[in-house]
Amino acid sequence: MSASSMTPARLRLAGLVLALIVALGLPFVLGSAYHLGVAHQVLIFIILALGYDLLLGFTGMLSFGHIGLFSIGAYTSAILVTSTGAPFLVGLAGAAVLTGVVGLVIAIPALRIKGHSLTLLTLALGEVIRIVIRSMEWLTNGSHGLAGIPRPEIFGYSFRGAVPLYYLLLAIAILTLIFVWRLKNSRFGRSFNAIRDSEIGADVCGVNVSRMKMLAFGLSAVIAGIAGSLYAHTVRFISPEFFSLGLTVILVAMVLIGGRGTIIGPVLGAILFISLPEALRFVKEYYLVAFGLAIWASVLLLPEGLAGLPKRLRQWRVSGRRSEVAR
Amino acid sequence: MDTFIQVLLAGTTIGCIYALVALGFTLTIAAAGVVNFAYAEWVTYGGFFGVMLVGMGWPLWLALIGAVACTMGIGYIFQRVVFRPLEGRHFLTTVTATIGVSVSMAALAILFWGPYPLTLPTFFGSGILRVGEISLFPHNLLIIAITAVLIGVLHLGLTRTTIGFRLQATAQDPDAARLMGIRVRRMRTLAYLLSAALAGLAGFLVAPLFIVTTTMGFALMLKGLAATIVGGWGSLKGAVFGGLLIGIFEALGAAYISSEYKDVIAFVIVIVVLLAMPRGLFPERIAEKL
Repeated sequence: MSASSMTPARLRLAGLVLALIVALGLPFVLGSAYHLGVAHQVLIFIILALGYDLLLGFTGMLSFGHIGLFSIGAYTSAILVTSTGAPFLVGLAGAAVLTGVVGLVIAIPALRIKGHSLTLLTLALGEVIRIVIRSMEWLTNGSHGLAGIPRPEIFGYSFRGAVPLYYLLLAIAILTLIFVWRLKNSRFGRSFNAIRDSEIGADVCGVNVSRMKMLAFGLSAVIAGIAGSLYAHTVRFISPEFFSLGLTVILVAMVLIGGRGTIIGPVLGAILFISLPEALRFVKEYYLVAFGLAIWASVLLLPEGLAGLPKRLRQWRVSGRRSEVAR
Repeated sequence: MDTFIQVLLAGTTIGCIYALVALGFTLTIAAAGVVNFAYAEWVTYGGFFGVMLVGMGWPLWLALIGAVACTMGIGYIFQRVVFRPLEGRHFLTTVTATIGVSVSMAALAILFWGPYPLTLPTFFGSGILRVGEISLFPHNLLIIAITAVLIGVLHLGLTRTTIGFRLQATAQDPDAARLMGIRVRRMRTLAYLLSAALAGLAGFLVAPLFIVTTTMGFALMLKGLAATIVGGWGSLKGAVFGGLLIGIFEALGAAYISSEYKDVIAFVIVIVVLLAMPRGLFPERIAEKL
């Protein structure tokens, strides 16, 4: 490593430590249960967005059905725990396994289909999942939703309180982050990126495109299932209306505006898009007008998202200086 | 048998609406490669403009023309601020950017017209025509007639006039078209305006069938999307037949299988078609490039 790249690496480490300290200390700053509730949601969506980034950012597949997987995870865990009295960990594992299987099943047709057709296929599948959940009243209580889902309890230790729950979610979010980060720097991560940049090129270079796509779908589905289970046990009420296409749009925006293909991007996106609407709740419609325009502007001006902002700023500064010199 | 014909007519009516939506949606894809997810809001605005103009005391036919003109105005503004920067961009970029604009437009619609559903009268009151045992809604027949005439005119315009040829050339290869002296920009603007007009018309015509809400266009666009996939991406013929197919299947499914799962039917058709023929019923010949 050369001397010039040492500084950003150290900066990054310092930033990481600082972020960790802030994350650990946050419950002491946030007094009210309401603010802690928002923090819970942020952490759950960090997990979900990191998993979604495997698909969209790493492998370059735009799926509009991801919230469908999220909802399957939530319902599986909730139904397992409330109707059979199974412990939370069984619900979590059941959600992860079932969504993983569904993700793999979705991946099989998706192997033959690319680009816009893939997006619309997954959109159709996501809508089918939502409508089936709404219509299977005997199991899911239909559009009334499932209420009274218990908070997590692991080996007798209850995470009923908001602060312990926060740390549980934080731990799982950090584990997910480490997993995705390790994956990114592995052979698999490089294969995903190769598929994103050029599928034919990756194939020629010996990447097993089908297997890698299946893997990306399966892994991101498992993470979505875990996030769904956590969501169900955190909010304690789930209904089909929450898992709408609007939420899909928010998820896509999180990853795109945060910065797809990066680790920090989905994290930033989740923090921004969950906490901002809560903070600006009193001007909801105006917020949505600005939110939409922000998506539009950031896609056009910042194709790499917020994660690419420092690089962009440096570029603009350099090009600004150059034009000054030219003058 | 009578119920069957009744169901078939209802399906054709809604299929015509889907066909109009799918046609408008496909026009911008074919002409400029722009996938316009804000199309849902164009349709919604068409309905709301109609309600607004009728509320101002305009006669219904004038309100129809006014609503179409207003949506065309939106189309023109879009061409200036949204579509031009998006032309030739990646699918992901156009989808995300237009979704962003559509979120803003939906919020603006709530600010302008409020969150409560509104209604629009039909041209014929609430009367019903009776032919034998079959009862017909005149408004449904009007929708079918307008759609049929419009598609006929559009087909003739595209295949028999020089403007149509220019539009086709632009769609096939913008660079070659420009070299032949065709004003590509102007042709694309024309396609956007046509697309917007179709959205306004669909929104206005469908309003008396349902109620006018801010999510009205979104549900229609989902079906329109399904129609473009079933018919074949970027194919105008496919959009029309796909829309009719989905409308009719949906009505039949709701009547004979389960009305609860009505909304699933369109998506099941999409999934089946994508699995069996990934390029749709009327595929465009496009080679995959590295």
